[in-house]
Amino acid sequence: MEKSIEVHSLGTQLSEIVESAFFVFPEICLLAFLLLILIFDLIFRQKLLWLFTITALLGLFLTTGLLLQQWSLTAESSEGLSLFSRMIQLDRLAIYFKILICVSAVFTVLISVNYKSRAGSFHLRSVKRIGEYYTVLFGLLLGAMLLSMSTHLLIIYLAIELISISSYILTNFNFDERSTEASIKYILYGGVSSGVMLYGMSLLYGLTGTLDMTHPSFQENIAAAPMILVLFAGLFTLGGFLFKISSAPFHLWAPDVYEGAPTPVVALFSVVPKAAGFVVLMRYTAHFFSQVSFDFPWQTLLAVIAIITLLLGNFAALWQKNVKRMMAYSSIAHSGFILIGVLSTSSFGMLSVLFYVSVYALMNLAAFLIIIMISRETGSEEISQYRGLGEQYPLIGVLMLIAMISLTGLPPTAGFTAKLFIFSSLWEAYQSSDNLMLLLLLVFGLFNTVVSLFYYLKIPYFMFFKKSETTFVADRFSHQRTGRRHDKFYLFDKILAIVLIFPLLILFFKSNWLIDFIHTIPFEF
Amino acid sequence: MIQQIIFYTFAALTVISASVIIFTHNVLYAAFSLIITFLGVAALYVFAGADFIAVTQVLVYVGGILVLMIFSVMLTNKISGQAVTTHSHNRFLGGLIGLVLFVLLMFGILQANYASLFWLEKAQSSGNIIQDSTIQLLGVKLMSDYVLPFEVAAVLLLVALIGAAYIAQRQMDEK
Repeated sequence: MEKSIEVHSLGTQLSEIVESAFFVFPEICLLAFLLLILIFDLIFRQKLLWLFTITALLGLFLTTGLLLQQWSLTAESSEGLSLFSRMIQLDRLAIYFKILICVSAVFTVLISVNYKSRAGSFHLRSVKRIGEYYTVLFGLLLGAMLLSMSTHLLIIYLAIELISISSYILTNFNFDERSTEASIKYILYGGVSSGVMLYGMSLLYGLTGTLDMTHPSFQENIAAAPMILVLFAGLFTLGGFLFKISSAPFHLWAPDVYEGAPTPVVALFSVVPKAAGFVVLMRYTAHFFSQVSFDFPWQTLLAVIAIITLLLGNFAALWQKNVKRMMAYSSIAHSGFILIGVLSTSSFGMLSVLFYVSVYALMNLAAFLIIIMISRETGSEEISQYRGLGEQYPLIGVLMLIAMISLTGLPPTAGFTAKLFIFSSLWEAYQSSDNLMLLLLLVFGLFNTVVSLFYYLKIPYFMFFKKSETTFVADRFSHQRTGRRHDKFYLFDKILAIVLIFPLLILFFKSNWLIDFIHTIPFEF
Repeated sequence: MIQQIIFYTFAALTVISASVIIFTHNVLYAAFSLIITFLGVAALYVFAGADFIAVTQVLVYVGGILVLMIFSVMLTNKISGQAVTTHSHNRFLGGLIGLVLFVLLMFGILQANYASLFWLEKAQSSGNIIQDSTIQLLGVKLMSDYVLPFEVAAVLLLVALIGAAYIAQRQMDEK
């Protein structure tokens, strides 16, 4: 008798799994293209290099299409579907981030088309094994997409590891000393933070008997457990997420990795894992911190982390001479700003996080594209090499200026609107809670925006106001561009840069276009 | 009584060999004592009733990973001709942080009193505790409840394998 009940329940469970599979079509599509590229690599190795790029783009477009279809199918008010026996949760929040991830990936692929590393060892037009690049890239995307849906600690861990391991490999794709060193450092920091996170998760499991954050017994048992242990478990688990969003005190890997890794990969690193990390952080704060029964000031804790992240990122960025290192610290600082939105927890705070992450993706991709274009021209990523470039190439200069103004958060760019939303959500949170720490955070945030002005505007300043040493372009690097002196930048790159910069201006004047879109997401976890 | 004696023997073995790993400067000694640590942990798994994990621990860690580690240490020995040693930095600060963490965790775990946790008591009263082998249950769960993590782990391993092969191959090409 008992046996037959078991079999029956297993049958329904299996049919549930098959049903669930229909809701992860975008992920299955991505995985299928990952395997397709791998097979192509076996068949056409070292030939037909363009085929790989086309296939990768096709895969990403198809996935984005499936995601858009998913978006239109989910109702605005629905709570979200729990799939695969409550492993992942498909809601509009997840779909929004997945679309963002896919679009950023499309731009990353387009950016990498004309990229050439300093030693020439990584160049998608000539590199021998381009297939591996796209395979690992798709692995990273798959991890990020899973992470943005996950509500189960096991899936969170696996997705974070998938992202991390793909990142370690991609960091090494330049195959010079710098990039190997960066990769090793990344592995070490990543291993430690994963270990810390796992320790926290194991404590959480011990306390609650479940890994599912949405499970009622998770919250009941968290509420019943003693404070010290819950604190330890919660903070250790938080550490893994902070690593992914490169926030203090888990930010140490960022500068070296950003400097050593191929620039298109850096552009991806600064957007995709971060976006996925913020979704999971939002879910974690909603399910864990808000459920803790004792009076734990977690909002203050996140505020302190945000303040430290802001200060470290912005002040370290001031002294950087290398553009990519500077962008690394800038991305740390931006994490601090986005954390402000997360800790506000109101639905307006969530809205501002989504808006900020979207705008941040655009401006970072644009900035890195221009860095790639300029470094191909000058053969260097030092800020001092930017002198006079604005006069020589006005279009590039103006585009860089707009990107930097947007990163600072000044009008008339979307960066300003994003910061405005973040700060008003913080002000709202302060008024409703009267937590002095939040006021302090507001002051520090505004102060840091001013600080960031100095290093962001240093680049346009060098480009427009410093006279170039006219000889360096012609002499030092003429051997690299034999007979092609007139062909400064690829037209393709220029168009791409304009496509990325233009929305930054549009979204300032018409921010409600994106806001209306975000407003249809129900912010219930 | 005998069970307790065996348990504490294995626990002591694990702790002692783990501290050898920390305090020795010779990497080879550390690798060897890691074997003992892993075997001790496997024994502790048996005491916890997790037979499958205990076997996996011995097969994967002792049989696979550690042999690989020891081989690589010995091969590096061969190249440089001297023992591979490590040095520790910031001993005082590291020790202090470790000690503070240990005390706080110990305090927390003792305070939590795991045996009387809410969910454990519930499971005990409903008779939901597994007494015999877990292997069949694990197999069914892996293919039903945990099928998604299972597949994700497969992709993870695929990507790691491709990456490792690619990195190794590139360096061979250069030589």
